[in-house]
Amino acid sequence: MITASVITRHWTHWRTEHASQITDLRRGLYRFTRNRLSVVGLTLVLLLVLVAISAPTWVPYPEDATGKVNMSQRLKPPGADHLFGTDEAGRDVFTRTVLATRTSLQVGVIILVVAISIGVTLGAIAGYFGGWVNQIIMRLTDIMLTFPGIFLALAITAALGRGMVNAMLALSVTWWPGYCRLVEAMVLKVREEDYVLGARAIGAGSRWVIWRHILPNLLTPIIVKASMDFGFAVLSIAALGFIGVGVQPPEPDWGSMIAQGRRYIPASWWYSTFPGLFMFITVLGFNLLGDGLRDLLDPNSTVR
Amino acid sequence: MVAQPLVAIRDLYAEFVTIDGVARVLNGVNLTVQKGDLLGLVGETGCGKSVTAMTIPRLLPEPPTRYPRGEVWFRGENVLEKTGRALRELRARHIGVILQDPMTGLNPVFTVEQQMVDAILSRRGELDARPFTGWLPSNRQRRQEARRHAIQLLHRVGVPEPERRIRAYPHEYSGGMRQRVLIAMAVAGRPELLIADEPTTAVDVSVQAQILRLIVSLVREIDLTVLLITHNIGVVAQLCQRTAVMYAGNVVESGSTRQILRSPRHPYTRGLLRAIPTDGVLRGSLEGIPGSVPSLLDPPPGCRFHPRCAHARAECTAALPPWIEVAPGHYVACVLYADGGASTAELLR
Amino acid sequence: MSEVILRLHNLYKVYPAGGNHAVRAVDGVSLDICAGESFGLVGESGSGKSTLARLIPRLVEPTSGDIIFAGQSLLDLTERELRKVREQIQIVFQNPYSSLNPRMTVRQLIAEPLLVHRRLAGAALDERVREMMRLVGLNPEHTNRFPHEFSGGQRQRIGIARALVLEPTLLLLDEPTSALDVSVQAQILNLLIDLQARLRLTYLLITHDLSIVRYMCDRVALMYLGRIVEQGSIAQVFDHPQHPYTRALLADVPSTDPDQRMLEHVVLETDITTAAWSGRGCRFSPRCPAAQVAACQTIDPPLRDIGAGHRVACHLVGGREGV
Repeated sequence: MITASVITRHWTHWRTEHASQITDLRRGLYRFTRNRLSVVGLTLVLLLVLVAISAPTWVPYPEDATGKVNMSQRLKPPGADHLFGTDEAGRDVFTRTVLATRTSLQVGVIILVVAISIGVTLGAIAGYFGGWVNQIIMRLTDIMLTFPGIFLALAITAALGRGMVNAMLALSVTWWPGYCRLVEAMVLKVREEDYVLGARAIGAGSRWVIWRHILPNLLTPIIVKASMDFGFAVLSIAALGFIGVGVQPPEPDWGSMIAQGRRYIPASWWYSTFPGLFMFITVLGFNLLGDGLRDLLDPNSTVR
Repeated sequence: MVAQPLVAIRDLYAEFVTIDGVARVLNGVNLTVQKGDLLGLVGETGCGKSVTAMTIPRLLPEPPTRYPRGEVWFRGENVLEKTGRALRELRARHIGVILQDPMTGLNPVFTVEQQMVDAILSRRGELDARPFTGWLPSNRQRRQEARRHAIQLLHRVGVPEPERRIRAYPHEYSGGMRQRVLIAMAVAGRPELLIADEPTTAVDVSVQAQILRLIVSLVREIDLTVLLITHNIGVVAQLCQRTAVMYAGNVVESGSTRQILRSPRHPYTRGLLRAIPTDGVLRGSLEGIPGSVPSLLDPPPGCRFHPRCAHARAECTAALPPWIEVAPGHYVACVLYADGGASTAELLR
Repeated sequence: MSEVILRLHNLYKVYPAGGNHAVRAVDGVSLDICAGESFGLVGESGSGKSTLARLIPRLVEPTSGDIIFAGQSLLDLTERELRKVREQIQIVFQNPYSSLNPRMTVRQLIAEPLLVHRRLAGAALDERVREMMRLVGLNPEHTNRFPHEFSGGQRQRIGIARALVLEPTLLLLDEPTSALDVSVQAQILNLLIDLQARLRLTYLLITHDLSIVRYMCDRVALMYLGRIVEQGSIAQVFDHPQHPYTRALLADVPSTDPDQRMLEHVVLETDITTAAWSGRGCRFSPRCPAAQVAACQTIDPPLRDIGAGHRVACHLVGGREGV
């Protein structure tokens, strides 16, 4: 009895203390949900994440992803036993497709985290300090941007050897310049805002100003860009897998599954089709979500 | 005896539909503008003066603006009932509008000449909107004639060396010059009504004086009626013979400028005038009006000023205050004057 | 006259631009401000007054000249020492909508100066924030709200609280009420007067509005195109203006007395850009309505004392009052 009332009291207190933030959040959610497509995107993404996290516990043939081969079952069409059919080694396409979701999302997250860490740091430094620091960093960025992503990734994996880790490294290297550019431009803009001047006027140093005032204002465009990039990151991993330099067998990967399945189209159509479908859904989901977030978080629509 | 007014706004209600609810921006506005008037519409932020004035040419986006009740009569016709072509005709021929910020009023990618010629032709109804028709002889001739007219206008509004300067781009003009160009575009074709929304707020004091004098001379020369929106009492005192004071969506007092400034009756008007630092005001004796402007999403019932009014009574929350004539031509919306004089003693105490 | 708390000596800020046209935002300003006084700096667009406000705490670096605060030259200081001095010179900005970080709560905004300089923390910090809010007339229960939930006048109060929390001696007020309605302006001006008396502050009030200066200040200086053209006590400048620009400005401000018809006698006919200064001679000469002498075109008039601290930069004004 006593604990219940104590908890209620704390909850009410917290609610009143943070009333403004709660209202802002509510308003934001309301605006977000009014856009049907964003909600579709969000749903897809949440479903995918759920699948990715829980997959190992419920896939019907987990051993098919770790190297088990079942030649007697090869190239069976979709049926009760195998929802998506089997591939040329008798492995369940459904299991492998679902587990590949897990791989793809994991890799996507890691790539973006690394790319964002590098890109945001460099971009913020370039934008805030200007001068020759800016020149060095931005020219480096320009150079990186002239290389087509896939070729750079190929070159790196060729140098370092095939494998998932090297593929992730390669892709991170190609993604960070985009964030660097974005952040540099935003920092240049935010730096001139009155409230940044106000912070310097009270005696704040560069580090405080960057951390406290400039970076939080960058969160929005970074989040939007990241959610839209995620789809492309997944696509890039699949592309590398398609060529054969990404995720290595027997680990399941959409790209390599599609590549291998090519030989069996149109007879065993299910082999390439289902991984492709999952890839499509993933990219679509993240793109819609990214669009919706951009509309939501756009600074021009702040509440007055 | 009283001729039909040029503009008569009767009991106008306006609302904005927003994410947070419906903002009741106009709460029964009554306003009359006679031909030849120079009427100042005065008020602070959120009082609805711009909304009221921009309703006449229906320049507010609808939605989110709606007009649930009321009428706006212009030249004997209800503007709220007009649509499409009739409205465009109204805006082209009969009403000119000047907005506040001259820096953004002109398109930066076109020369002043192009924009003025477009404006002049548009006001005459001769603007050919079809793309790539500039070469047609009829259009070329019209544009040349309009160009001559534009140079005359620039000269009239005080832009030096108009033949040379007309080819320039807006960024080559100062703020004051740009405002003159915008005024020229607004009065081309001699509209009957000029709506000037804070035309001097964004310019220096010296330029402000020049612009105001220009407006006065135009009024005399082309028989213009002016509705001037401003929050600057000095501008109103110098320019307008009649004034209407607005607060939170209502006109609270109207009359001749002299009446309003010399014997203000409404508590808001009195408070407003006491807040202005004029010459000779001793330090510390300015009085602000306590409180702040109410939210239009959830305005106070009855008289919207009553929460900040030192003389508020029970009747003030019950209904909108009555519109009372306290002197010839001088009207106040306040219950204090309802019993004809007894309460004014209290107010002036 | 009490001791001088801020001395500006021959301050210049020149922005290099294309070709030969450098922008001389501040073109040789010298000024003394005494402790406890309210000094008004009046100027219109292009006068350089806002640049001057940013030069004083060295938020913008001066091209040349000196800034001496409490006897110490600010130009000698390292970045670190400068940050310490900035505690003493605070700014209240013009735009209460853009000068407060919209993502910070009021509490964070007012506490920030204290956190930056590591003065207080925890419960002591909270109490000080609440104390500041009470001081400026805000409800201390509202510390967790965001700036956009307040009205313009209240936001300006937040800005004032933030500027005062470090207990500065000099407050630079950059157009503190220009973005506010008249009735709110009166509240803020009265608040500022009250705070000055209570906290023994010195004010440098920068504005284009002469009537505010008349209401609030002890002394005033008028700037035109980067220079001070007239300076003196309120009585001297407002009752006996000497410089043609001052006279024109005073004449062109629309009076709230409807019987004082001034539109008939508009003094300044031209614009600051159409009648541009060539760079030689007096910078006001292209627009000057007074009868000029030869020197007006060739020599830039120096700021000269014409008696009792009243200074004017004009060839037409001799060393005596009432030309």
